[in-house]
Amino acid sequence: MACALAQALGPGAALLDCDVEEPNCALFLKPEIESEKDFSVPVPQIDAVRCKGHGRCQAVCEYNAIKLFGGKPFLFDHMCHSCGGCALACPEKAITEKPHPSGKLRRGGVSGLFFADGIMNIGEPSSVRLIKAVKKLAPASGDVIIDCPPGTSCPMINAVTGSDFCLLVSEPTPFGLCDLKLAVETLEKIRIPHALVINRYDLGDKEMEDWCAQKGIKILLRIPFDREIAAAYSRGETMLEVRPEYSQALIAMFDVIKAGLSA
Amino acid sequence: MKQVLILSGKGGTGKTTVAGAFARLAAPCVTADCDVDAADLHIILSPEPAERKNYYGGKKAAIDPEKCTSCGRCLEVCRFDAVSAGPFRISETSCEGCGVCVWNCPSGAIIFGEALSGTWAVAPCRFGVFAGARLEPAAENSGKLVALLKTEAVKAAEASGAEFLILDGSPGIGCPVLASLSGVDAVVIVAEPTVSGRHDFLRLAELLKQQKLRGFLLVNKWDLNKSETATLEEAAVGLGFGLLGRVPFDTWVVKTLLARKTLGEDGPSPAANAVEKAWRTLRAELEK
Repeated sequence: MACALAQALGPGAALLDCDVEEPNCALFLKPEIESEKDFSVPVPQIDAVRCKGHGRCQAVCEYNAIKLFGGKPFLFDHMCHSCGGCALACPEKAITEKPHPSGKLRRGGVSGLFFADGIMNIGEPSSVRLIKAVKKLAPASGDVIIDCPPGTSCPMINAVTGSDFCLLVSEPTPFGLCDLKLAVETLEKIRIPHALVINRYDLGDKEMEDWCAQKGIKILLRIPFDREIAAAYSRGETMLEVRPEYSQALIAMFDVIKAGLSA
Repeated sequence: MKQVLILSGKGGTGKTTVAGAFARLAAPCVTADCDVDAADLHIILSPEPAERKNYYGGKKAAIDPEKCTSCGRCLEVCRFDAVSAGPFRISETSCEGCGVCVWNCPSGAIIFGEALSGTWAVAPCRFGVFAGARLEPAAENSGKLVALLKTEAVKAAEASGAEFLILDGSPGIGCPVLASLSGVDAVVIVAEPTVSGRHDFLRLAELLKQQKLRGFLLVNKWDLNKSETATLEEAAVGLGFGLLGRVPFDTWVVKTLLARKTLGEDGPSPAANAVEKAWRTLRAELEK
């Protein structure tokens, strides 16, 4: 949906793939990558000569990333959240920070559409900083579509924070409805207006529609199951490549969203 | 007791459907839903009502306006963009609970307390025991909750003498997935035969290699792209994965889900038969 919507909006719009654990948008949009750089997060570096073994670093670290053994601090990189607390706390100034590579940031474009994504390194626990970095690449003007990671915890929160509107995509099955309820609850909590697109609406039941009617959640588009779209998706093509007629529907949907926001 | 973890990279590939079917086929067993921020497996396993226990996943900072002198030190030291000025406040959803603002505040104006991040329960279900959790929307530390849930599930499996612990994993490759990997005997990756599905599979496969874990591939909706299925399987074999077979696209799967049943529970179907065969293959491999 994110790729098709960005494609429909065309030149001047931007697509940011913030699902950095499994970034896929580039596979569908095939942008020309103009720049690719390493992305790092700061992690502590302990100067063994300066360290007097006070243990302030261990005491302030809420993530148990530094432990003292025989009066010497040891760092557990994968527990570190890069908060910088240990470096601030060390009375001997024995802790500095060094960059720890956690992923890649790319930017480019395709047919006048701005494109950026993040690719998290495998084995890294947290995607939050990389997601924030991808969002900072957004151009100053034009409409920005963000492909959000799944779930309702830190990656999702960081991807949607600051957005004017969140478009939810779900399927009308018990699994889809259960996840939709969690997503809506999260968006209500962080106060971001939202509406729904129901995908494969003809394969499920009516419960999702009933729930949305009751909650006052607008359903902006219903897409039926279409083997052609599924097959195109499997080849790494967006729905617009086999069903270009959806382009108008997506643009109209986007206009409805924008009109609702300016009202 | 053998631990089998089901992963997929992305959501919506059939991971939970496969986990539910495996729970039925492995019964009596213990099943745990490690996808704590979008837990769905309980819908088809229908565990009995049980007392839910609170999970405190970390701390949250908040400013006491009475004591705050608006010096701005908290804003300066916070690395998570959680502090906003005028009047100074800390966003509950952005705060990562590092506590740096707390001990840097010259006026002692920051309150730091344990935040309720979710609930969890272990309860009987018709295939044995089910361990499930629910992360509060916008809560932190899903990895820690997954670790807790796994510990409880292992305890339940040991207490009941269950032969299998079936774990439904979460999407992605980040902290909840890393937490679900510890101690597993086999990881089943459910993948769709798509260009993006192959990309997701290869990233997960790399993670399993790093963690030295044994992996198996199950291709879902294989007939949507037969040549991509072949490419995916070839890549998997090259990476030392075992193949568990191919599940066809089958609208019966949705009917079973709408009836809140596990695949195969309401009679045979092409997809149910393929998943049963996958389970028999996996079981034989684990018994070798």
